[in-house]
Amino acid sequence: MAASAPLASETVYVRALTPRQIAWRRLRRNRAALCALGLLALLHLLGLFAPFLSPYSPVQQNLALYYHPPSHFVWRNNQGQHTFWPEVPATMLTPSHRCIDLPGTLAPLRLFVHGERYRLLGILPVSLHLFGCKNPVFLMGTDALGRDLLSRLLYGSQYSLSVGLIGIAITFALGLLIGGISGYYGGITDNVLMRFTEVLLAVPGFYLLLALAALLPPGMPSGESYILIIAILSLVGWAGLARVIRGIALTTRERPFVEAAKALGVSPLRIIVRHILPETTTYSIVSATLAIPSYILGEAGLSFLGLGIREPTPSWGNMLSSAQNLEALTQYPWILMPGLLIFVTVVAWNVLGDGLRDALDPRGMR
Amino acid sequence: MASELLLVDNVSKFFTVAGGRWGERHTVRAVEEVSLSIARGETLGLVGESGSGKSTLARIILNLIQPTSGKVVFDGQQVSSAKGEALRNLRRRMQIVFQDPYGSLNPRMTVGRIIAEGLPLRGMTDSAKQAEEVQRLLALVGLDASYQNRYPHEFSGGQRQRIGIARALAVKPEFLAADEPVSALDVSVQAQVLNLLLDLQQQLGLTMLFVAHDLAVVRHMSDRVAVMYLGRIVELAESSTIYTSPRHPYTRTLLEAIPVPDPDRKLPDIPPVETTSRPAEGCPFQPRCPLAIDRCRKEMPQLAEWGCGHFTACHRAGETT
Repeated sequence: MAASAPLASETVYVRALTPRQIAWRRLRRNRAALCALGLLALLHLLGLFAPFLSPYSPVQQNLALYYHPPSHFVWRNNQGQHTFWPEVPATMLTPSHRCIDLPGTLAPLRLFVHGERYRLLGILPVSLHLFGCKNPVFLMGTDALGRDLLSRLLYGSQYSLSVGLIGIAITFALGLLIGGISGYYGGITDNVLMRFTEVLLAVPGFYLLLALAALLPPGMPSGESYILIIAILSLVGWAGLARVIRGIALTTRERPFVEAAKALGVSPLRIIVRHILPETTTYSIVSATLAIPSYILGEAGLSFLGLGIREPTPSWGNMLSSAQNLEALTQYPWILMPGLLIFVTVVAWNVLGDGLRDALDPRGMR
Repeated sequence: MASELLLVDNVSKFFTVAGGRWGERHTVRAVEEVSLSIARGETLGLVGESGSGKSTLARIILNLIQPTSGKVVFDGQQVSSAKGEALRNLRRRMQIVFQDPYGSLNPRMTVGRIIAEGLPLRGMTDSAKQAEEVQRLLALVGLDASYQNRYPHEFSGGQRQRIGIARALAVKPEFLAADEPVSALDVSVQAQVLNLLLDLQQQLGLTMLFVAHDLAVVRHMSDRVAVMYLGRIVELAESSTIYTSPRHPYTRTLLEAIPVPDPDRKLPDIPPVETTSRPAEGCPFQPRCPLAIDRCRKEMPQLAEWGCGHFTACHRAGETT
């Protein structure tokens, strides 16, 4: 058809893709990495909205209902009629720790109920919760003090997940700056900074963590100890990164465009930030995603040993420490839930990191 | 010379290199006892084969490398010892265009940002003014203003070299060193870039150091030509003189190596290249020189004037015309 032929005056303007666009396209083709990304986004969102999603306060105890198994739903009401909405029975624990339903106590699970007041995202004072029930409802059971595991997991994720993100931010700020300066200036500056990082690298990391954590005063509020744990983890972690960044900076400073910037009279700090550090982005993004799990595990390890986030404030690590004895493990397996979440998060970060590495690999760029 | 802008005085640069199986160190004499001057508005061509120290000399002049000895004086100011504010001012007045149009532009920055990088250094911090200036510079080097939002990898070598020139001109320099600006380009594009440089030089009154290994290209560009061999200047003269009556045997072989489109031309006797390493004593060119005598093997010839600004470092320069 003549109508479909393009006019001669029409110019087709094709714009080349930037490296970032190419990388994003390739990441989208990697299904596993995309799933991991989605999962992580979900986990972080859950943590962000923990007060709204959790039915109880993470520190509210029900001593009569300790190690309560996950609640079960009944699809009938007290009159025996079939319902389309789950009902929850009130329960009690026998002396032999069996959970039995109390007859005639069924109450419907309700959405958007008012409960304890909290500040949504730390600002908005509200009392709305996603769900609730007249009877105690524990979707994932309770711990030794009868605290709702789901609420504690949600609140705990705020600490456990953010440790990785904030930790990596501090580590990278330090590592990039020190590595960049060391590599760009070279000479004596390089020697002094690198010997210093080697000293740090020579100290076994976990012992350093233990020593530093033991310095925390025992009565410290958990908010403060949380900040300190992040500080400790990132102060231990930057050294290895700084060395790699220094290596990249050493090769980049010989590139002609850096020489051109130097010839223009651009200040050294500006050259480092604008020309040298961008060369490390591929490496940094990948190594950051692969390093986040070690922070999550580091926090979990410290909290597990009682040196991190302290009871009653929940974190996945200190929740897992209650799963230490065999009796609890065999009889109340739901208390392993934080372990499962740590595992899932760590795997997701690693899969995402792998996917990013493939996507950013310059050899595959077209 | 009253109006000289740049003076290179007895500059040497030695690099220490670790080599060999046991990592023994030895010294590479990249530039040795080089002196020259460039007058305001003049273009000095600098030719020589690979490894003759041309680029090193250009980098020393721009203070991208510190010389081992000697000094560079730009408009009465010492370059190599300049620091801080003085160095920043000098940097703004002297710029360089690099050989590699692919490596010399940051692949992660848009053309607009690359060109605008130098603008704050001449006091232009207002972003609207910067955008205007970038457009002016793009037009100056013959590129479309719409290119400023694109990335370097979207351009051809010649276009990139134009971008590199625009970046250098952004700080309004008086002196421009062109370090083999066209050697990485197609021959068809070379002429365009060379003519652009010539135009800009006339328009802006630039003083230029034009480094190349191609004598034909240098002839097109330069008022005077300096020939380097193994770190030393062996001949320096007006470009017409050097092409018509070279005195140094090395210059002559270089000129004879220029291809001439004449199928009947007999190939000149070009001495075979047996070694390009430098002899322990005597003239550095002596192992390859067809005219070498005993004196050349023992004594280093100094640069001497053979009339009318024609300098040659050869013991037998007087005998050959």
